[in-house]
Amino acid sequence: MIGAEPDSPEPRENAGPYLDSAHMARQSQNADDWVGCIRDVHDLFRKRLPPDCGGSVHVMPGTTLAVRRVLDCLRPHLRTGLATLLTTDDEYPGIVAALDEFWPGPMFVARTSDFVWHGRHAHLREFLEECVRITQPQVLYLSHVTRGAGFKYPDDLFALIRRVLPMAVIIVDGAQSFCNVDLRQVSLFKHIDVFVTSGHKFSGGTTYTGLVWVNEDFSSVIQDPAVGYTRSRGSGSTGDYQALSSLRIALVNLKDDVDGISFAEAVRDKMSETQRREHLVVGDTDYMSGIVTLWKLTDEQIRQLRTKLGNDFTLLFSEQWRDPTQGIRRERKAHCLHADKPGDADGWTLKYQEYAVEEERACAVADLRPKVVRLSYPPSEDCCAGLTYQEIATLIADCLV
Amino acid sequence: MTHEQGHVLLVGNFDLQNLDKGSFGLRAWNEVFAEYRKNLVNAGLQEEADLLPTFGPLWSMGDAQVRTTLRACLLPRSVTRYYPPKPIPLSDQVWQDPVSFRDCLLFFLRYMNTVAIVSASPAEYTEMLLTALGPIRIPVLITVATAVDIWPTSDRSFGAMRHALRLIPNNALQAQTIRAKVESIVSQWRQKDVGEVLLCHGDPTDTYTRDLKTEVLRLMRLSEDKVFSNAETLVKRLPTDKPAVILSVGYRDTLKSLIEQLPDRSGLTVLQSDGVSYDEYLEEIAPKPNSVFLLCRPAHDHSTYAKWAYSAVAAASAQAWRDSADRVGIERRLLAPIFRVREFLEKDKASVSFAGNENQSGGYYLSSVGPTHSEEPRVSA
Repeated sequence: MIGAEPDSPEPRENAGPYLDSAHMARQSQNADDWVGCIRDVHDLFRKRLPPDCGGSVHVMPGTTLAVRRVLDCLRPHLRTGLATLLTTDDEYPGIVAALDEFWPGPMFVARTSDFVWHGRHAHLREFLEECVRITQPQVLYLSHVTRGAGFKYPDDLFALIRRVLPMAVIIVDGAQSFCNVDLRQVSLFKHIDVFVTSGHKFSGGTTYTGLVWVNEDFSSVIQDPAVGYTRSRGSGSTGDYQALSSLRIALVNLKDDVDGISFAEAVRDKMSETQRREHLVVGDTDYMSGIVTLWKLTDEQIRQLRTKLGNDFTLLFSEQWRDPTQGIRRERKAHCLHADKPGDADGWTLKYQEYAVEEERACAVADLRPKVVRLSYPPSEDCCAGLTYQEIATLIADCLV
Repeated sequence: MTHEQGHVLLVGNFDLQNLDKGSFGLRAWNEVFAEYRKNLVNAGLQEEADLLPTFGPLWSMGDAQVRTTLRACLLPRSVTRYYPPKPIPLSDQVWQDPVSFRDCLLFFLRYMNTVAIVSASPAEYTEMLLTALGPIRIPVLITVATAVDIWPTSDRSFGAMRHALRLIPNNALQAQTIRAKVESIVSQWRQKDVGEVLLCHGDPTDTYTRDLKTEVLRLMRLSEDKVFSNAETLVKRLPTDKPAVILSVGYRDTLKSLIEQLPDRSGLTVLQSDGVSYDEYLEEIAPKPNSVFLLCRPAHDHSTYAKWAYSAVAAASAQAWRDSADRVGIERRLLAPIFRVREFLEKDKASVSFAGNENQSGGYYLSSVGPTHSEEPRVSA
């Protein structure tokens, strides 16, 4: 058993003997370990979060399912269909689909990926700041680290959002940051309400696990009727024991780096051979993308890159990397994202999607494309951490020798 | 706890060429600015109130240089205690269409934490504002435009009605008041002296005129042969020896041409819509002492509605500040801002009670205008 027993009275245990059984009335072989496994995962997840972040943690069968659950729990609290949601086009398509499906009010999708992919990430904070002011959303859904490029939003962005919108509900998708970024060192938990992450990415567990942290305000809101592994609030749980057990093992095996960067040692052993691809540099020297994706690096190379490039960018697994010209950029009629080609937006574009409250999902899509505003940031010479592209290329070449 | 100070955008017709005549926007601005100063004092920020500049000619956002200067003024300000939202005037007269106006609006919205927009413009400009805002759900509080058909209906309107409230009673309520008065006059006519009820209107393409005319005709069921756009034709139709009520729907130019043509005799009652101010009306009717002149006016001046709008936004902002400190429930946090403002409007102001987007309370009243009449006080709040 890992972690201390909770001081508070033990919540009602709902995990019965059939939880990982496909057949009714068939005794689970792992029933005895089930409750302990959940408790361990809770405790291990907690250890990866700032010690003073409070709130409560929950385990669910998948990140997307966890997000859907969070949204589902918010819906009864919406008095009208007028609450606005702001997200970005860097989110996982499944999440966008969930937001699209669950959110009854207007939804803005800020096109942040252009900034990252075109080397203008230094302006991303300012752009999101403006998006928040313009749309004045009641709910924000934002990645901590973007899945497309591994860009990590600065912590002070979340503080700024909170300054502008003290009442907004801020949900952070940490699928790419859990075990990639040392969450114990970040300040965002002071400013956000919900942190959702995955158990199978950098933590190295198998798929079908999602982890949720909610602050005190939400602890009583996020209930878990039969969709999670959570022990309390009437959960019947539908999770899979193997997945849960895998996550527990993965989290137990995570090591802490002395300098607080857990990735290098913790993830090294978890990268399978298939993920250790050949060296791959995305974007040739003529393309000022500012995004460099590398595989098969040694710990020392990773350390050097981290030291030189700073923390704006994190490292990516192959699964998380995707070509910006594909995937979410494709027109997704089902989601009405209707993403345009990059580069034609004079710096930025907000996408809007409207559902008529009375009518059934009558979608109207349009964009707000300010012509006079023209935030046309020129491709930056300092495309990454103050270094020119050429300097980065040299740096990488040096690292790879 | 650190917050970013909010702003309230006052969008109005600040007629820079005729500031002395007091446009809708300028009168609303004076009230709102005074209310802001009062809020500062009430919040214990006397020094801040003392430092407030006296605004001279208002900014026209057509000038790029002005924009640059403004941007420096509008930099977000982080505060560690509650500050009432700062009002910012914005003239909408220089913009010809919603697209160019949207560019201007976005300039402000990007840099200011805009918690609400108060509209102090006539119908066509308010409609432009709502269209320009598109999907942006910043609360819009309408204080001048009375046209019923103000809400954008195109696919790109994005449900403008859901984030806007009209404080000034609309033309449907004005038409009801006019109808009630006309019926009262007509009921006093003797059988043998049954007169005519005629309607004279101004430019039919003007949103306000068209809308009010439609509402009056709908309620009073006047036939087309009693509706005139030309005062001369109307006067020819006037009975010479019987009483008549002439409804004047439009602005000062419509009234002026009507009065010029109208014979000065008893038995004639002119009922003017609220497109003309009391003083303008008095000025125009001076040569006709024998007729009866009535003016239909909203219960409160539009600048009072603007003041109330600002006051409610400030109260809602203060409440949001307290709520964030008190960690209120999720339901409260998910509440769209327009409902917070509405709560305070309906709670604090007796003359505000909404059905949908429209204020159904207060309505309109009629006052007699003439040299012997003094301007009647409006209904107090």
